[in-house]
Amino acid sequence: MRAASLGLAALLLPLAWGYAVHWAVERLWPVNPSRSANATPRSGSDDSAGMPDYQI
Amino acid sequence: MTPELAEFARLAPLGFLVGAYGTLVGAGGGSVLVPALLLLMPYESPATITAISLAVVFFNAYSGTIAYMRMGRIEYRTAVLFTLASLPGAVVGVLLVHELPRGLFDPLFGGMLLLIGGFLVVNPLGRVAPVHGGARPVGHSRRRSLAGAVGSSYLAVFASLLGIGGGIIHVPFLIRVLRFPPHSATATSHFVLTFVALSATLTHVAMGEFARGLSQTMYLAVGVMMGAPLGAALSLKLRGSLIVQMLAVALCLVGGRLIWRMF
Repeated sequence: MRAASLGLAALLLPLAWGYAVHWAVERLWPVNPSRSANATPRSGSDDSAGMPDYQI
Repeated sequence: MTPELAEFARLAPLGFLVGAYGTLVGAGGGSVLVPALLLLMPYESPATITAISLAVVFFNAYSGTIAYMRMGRIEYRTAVLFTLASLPGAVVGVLLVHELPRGLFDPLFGGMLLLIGGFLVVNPLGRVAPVHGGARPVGHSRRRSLAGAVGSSYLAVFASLLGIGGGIIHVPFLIRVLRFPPHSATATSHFVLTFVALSATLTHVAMGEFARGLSQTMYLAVGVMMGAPLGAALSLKLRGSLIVQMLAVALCLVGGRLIWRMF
């Protein structure tokens, strides 16, 4: 019973918590529009060191 | 030489290497440290080794994060979001680890990590994303940050089940799923790892699994805290693809260890 409860918690809690935290951070710490607009995902490029303005 | 000094001379250099490597790839180094400690300290139980490793990962991540902060490579909003998302999962994983039928999960997890590691060695960065000149839709960014929060939350449970900090899983997730640049991914992952490893370590302490190994942890911590800034500095000199490949080796190590444990 304890294992089943923990298993269920491990499945559902991360989903609910991830949504809740995202919702809270979106409201308390909104994305800076200028930085977000200029952020470019340069995955695949190897010259991305020192890229502090990357913001998703 | 006293036994304590001999142990320090043995563990501090190991910590230094683990600190440099872990920070370089954005992980805590637990993937390398656990097998090394199992060899060096065969008299300790796996639970104690895991607890020591997680505490050392915390010191490594803490020191590496300070170095990355000085370099201005951490994206704080994303890092705080993923940290908050990860914390409960790390605790749930520690609680769940005793309930799992290891005979089933170890080979399953091990095989999965080996596959991912092998895939990343061959194809470290994936398809090259086109470099956009203009703005991206905000919704797209929101979806990715939501995916990052939920994904980080699940990854924390998974990492905690494996007894590792989770950097070796989080960094590929940031790079391949969320399309982070590799150097930004390692720094952000390190920030998250500091708090995740701390919460997992405190959970181990609360469960009484840290009764032994405090002195060994401190000896290793001295080493990792000196090695971490070196790893952060070295990472600037390496290509992103090489960093991912080095990380993939750590993934294969953890996967191989899980499968090895069956025999």
